[in-house]
Parts: sequence; structure tokens; C-alpha cells
Amino acid sequence: MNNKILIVDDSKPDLENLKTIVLDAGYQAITAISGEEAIEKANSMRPDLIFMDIIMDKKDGYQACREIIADKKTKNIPIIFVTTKNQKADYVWAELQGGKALIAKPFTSDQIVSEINKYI
Amino acid sequence: MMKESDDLSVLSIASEVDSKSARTGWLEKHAELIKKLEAEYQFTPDTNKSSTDERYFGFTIGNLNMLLSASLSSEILEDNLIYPIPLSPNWLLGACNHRGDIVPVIDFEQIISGEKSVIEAGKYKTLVLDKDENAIGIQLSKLPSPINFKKKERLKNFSKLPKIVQPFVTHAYKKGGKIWVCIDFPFFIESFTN
Repeated sequence: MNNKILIVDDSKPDLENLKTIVLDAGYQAITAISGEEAIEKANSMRPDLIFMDIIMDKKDGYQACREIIADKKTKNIPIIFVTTKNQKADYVWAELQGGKALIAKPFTSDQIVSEINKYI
Repeated sequence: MMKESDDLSVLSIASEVDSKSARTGWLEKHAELIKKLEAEYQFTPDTNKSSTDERYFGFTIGNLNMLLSASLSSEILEDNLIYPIPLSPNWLLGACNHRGDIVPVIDFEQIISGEKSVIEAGKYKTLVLDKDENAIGIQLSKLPSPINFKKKERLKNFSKLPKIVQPFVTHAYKKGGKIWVCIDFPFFIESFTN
């Protein structure tokens, strides 16, 4: 399949774990380790879906999400937050930022694949 | 949804008509009328509609409707413990633990109006603005919600806003009879803490 999925996480183990799940599911994986890099790659590579961590240095996942959604070229890319933040308010706040869903860490590959199947 | 004022509706129609005529040419004979309308209302048609939308998160504290800039880092904490700090000013509610950082939590309403905000126990949320050593918490009763503005809704005069916030207002908008202000929070808080 040619569908591209952008994975954004500043934690290397989480990044690799997500990348493996995405590749095993038969999709192309693009990675970024910061909010800035995510915005840049969303713009240049136009992925079909983004898995976005929230807590990152400099620009966090919420800021990156807002910027991606504010840009008319990237606003239609679905963004799924993948984070350790899993309070009720986090789910609501993530949705208000424009995210399609929030998956709490630790996640299972089924959860990730299920979200991929919803949007691709 | 905001209702556009009558004169702006006329201008929007003029703009729409103008762009259609550019495509079809069938309204060319009215071009002069459209030009006249534009000149009369000093209107420049905005061909890129999406660029006129400015997206914020809005929340209300006391009588002040505030906007959170999309570029500012923000998180919501729920059920977080706020530890009072002895001998601190009234507007400083205390400090909370945010991923190991000590974040001061302020009562913004008390700063603006001098009156303690009334939030039902257990119903408050803490909006954490900025990060690391610059992080500051503001207690809210409701979550901020997304709000879009058109550029034409932007206010140029801030004189009707509370004096205490005026120097820190970066943008202000009027929508549905309400005034919304975007404050440079880091600058505002710094001015208080110093």
C-alpha cells in the first residue's frame, strides 16, 4: 500500500514500536521527533494519517496539531493523539484541538490498527 | 454564527458578484456599478476566504472573555491538587505538580476584579499555559472552546477593556455583542510576579 502514516514522538522506543505496528500493517511510516518536524513533514510529505505524541520539547503535540489544522493544505489530515495523558479532560481537550482520537499509552497494536482502518 | 452587518452583507454580495463575473463575464456590464459600490464602502474583496479566519480557544473569567493563542502551549489538568503557599498574595492559589515541575496556579479573576473567583469544589480545571519554568496555571470552571474570527471582527481600540489588562492585549475581537481579548499571558504574569 502507498498510504503514508506520520508518527511523531520524542521517545525513541515509542516511535520504533509505533513504526513497527504501522509497517506490519502494510503502510509506509514516516517519523518525526518534534512538533516542528511534524508540521514540516505534514506539509512536505502529506501523510494520510498522523499519530502524534503530546508531551514533547519545544513545540508540543497540541501546538503542532493546531498548526497543521490551521493550514489549508494539511487541515484534512486526521490526527490521532498517542499519549500518557489519559484523564477525561485530556480526551476532551485533544478533541477540541482538532484530534480525531486519543490513544493512551501503553497501547496495543490492535488499537493502532483499528484507528488506521477508520481513517485510511 | 455571527450575523454580518447590513453594509458588509452588501459588500460580500458585491465581492461575490465580482469574482463570478471574472469567471463568466456575464455580469461585465455591471462592473462599473460594482466598482462604485466598492469605492463607496472602501472595500477590497478578499479572494482567500480561509485566510480571514483566525482560530482561538475562548474562555471566560469573571466578565472577561479571553482567547488563547494557537501558538501558546497549553494543557488541561483535572483533579489536580493545588498546594497553598503561605504568605503569598491572594491571587496566588498555590502550586501544583505538573510532571515534576512546580507550577504556580493563579486566580485570574482576583487579579482583574479584586474578587475571589467562585468555582464549585471539585469542578475546577487548571489550564496550564507555557512550559517548564515558564508554566503557569489558571483555574477555570469550564474548558476553553474553539472560536473563529474574521479579520473584520478585530477591534482597534482597547479603551473599553479593564485597564489592568489593556497593556497586555495583543488582539481583541467583537463577535455576537461580546468582546474577546487575546492577552500576552507570559508578559502579563511576568509583570505581576516581578
